[in-house]
Amino acid sequence: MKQIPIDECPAGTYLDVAVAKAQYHGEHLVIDFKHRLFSTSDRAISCIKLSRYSTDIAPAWELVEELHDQSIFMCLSDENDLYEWYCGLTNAIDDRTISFEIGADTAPLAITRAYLKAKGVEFVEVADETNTD
Amino acid sequence: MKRIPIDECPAGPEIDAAVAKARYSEIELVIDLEHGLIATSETRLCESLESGWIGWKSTLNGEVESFCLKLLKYSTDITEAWELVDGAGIQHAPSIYRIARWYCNFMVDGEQIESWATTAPLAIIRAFLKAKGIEFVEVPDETNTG
Repeated sequence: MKQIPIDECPAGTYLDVAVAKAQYHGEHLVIDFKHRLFSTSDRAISCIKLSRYSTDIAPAWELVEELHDQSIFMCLSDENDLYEWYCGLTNAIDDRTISFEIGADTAPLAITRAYLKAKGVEFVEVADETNTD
Repeated sequence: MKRIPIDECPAGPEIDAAVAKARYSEIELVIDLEHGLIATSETRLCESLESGWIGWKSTLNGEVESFCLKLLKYSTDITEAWELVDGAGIQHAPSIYRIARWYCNFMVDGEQIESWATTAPLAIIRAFLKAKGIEFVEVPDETNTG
């Protein structure tokens, strides 16, 4: 396994796992990559299906709503009409831009990357052979 | 029935039907709002809305007379609404965000088309309908426009 920056991580299981880890921060997760399932190591929570945050808009939108509930607003745009999506995040409590212009080819991927950055995650663990181009 | 401005139209089958008609304006559709169904004799729509496919009605000699599809819930389901952002030919510089309410805009012919709503899907489809030049939606008289 190797660690790569969020901005270079392609959509897929590794990024989705990173979201699950951010959501269960403090828990040690046991991941079944093949079947896209995870459990907490103490088995208090077992066999949760890993949502396809980075590829499907509906689960990605849950992340937008989750951040909003924490007063972190996400602006999603394709301003240059280049089919590249950008996310801007603003913390409404102090009106501070906490991250800006996180780009991706698709909206779910941009949302997932922005969510992870909002959670303080900078790197994602991926298989050594993962292509980051 | 009464006509109300797009920005006052609540989420529901009436605005979903307006989206379907605007999206497939070149195809004649018959929409059953009560059951959330679309009937059409055009195979093109069936191909593009595969997930909404239900079945077909055939004539006595076995020829297909019309196809039946589900009316997608554009106004309440983000996955359906997102198809309009990503794949309905209106995707000119879309921008979507939420402060107190959800905001969505598209650039169409250099003009900014914008819309606000309580949910993201509703904001998206209101902007989509405006981008398609639709300003009013027909709703039952008793519809509450808040």
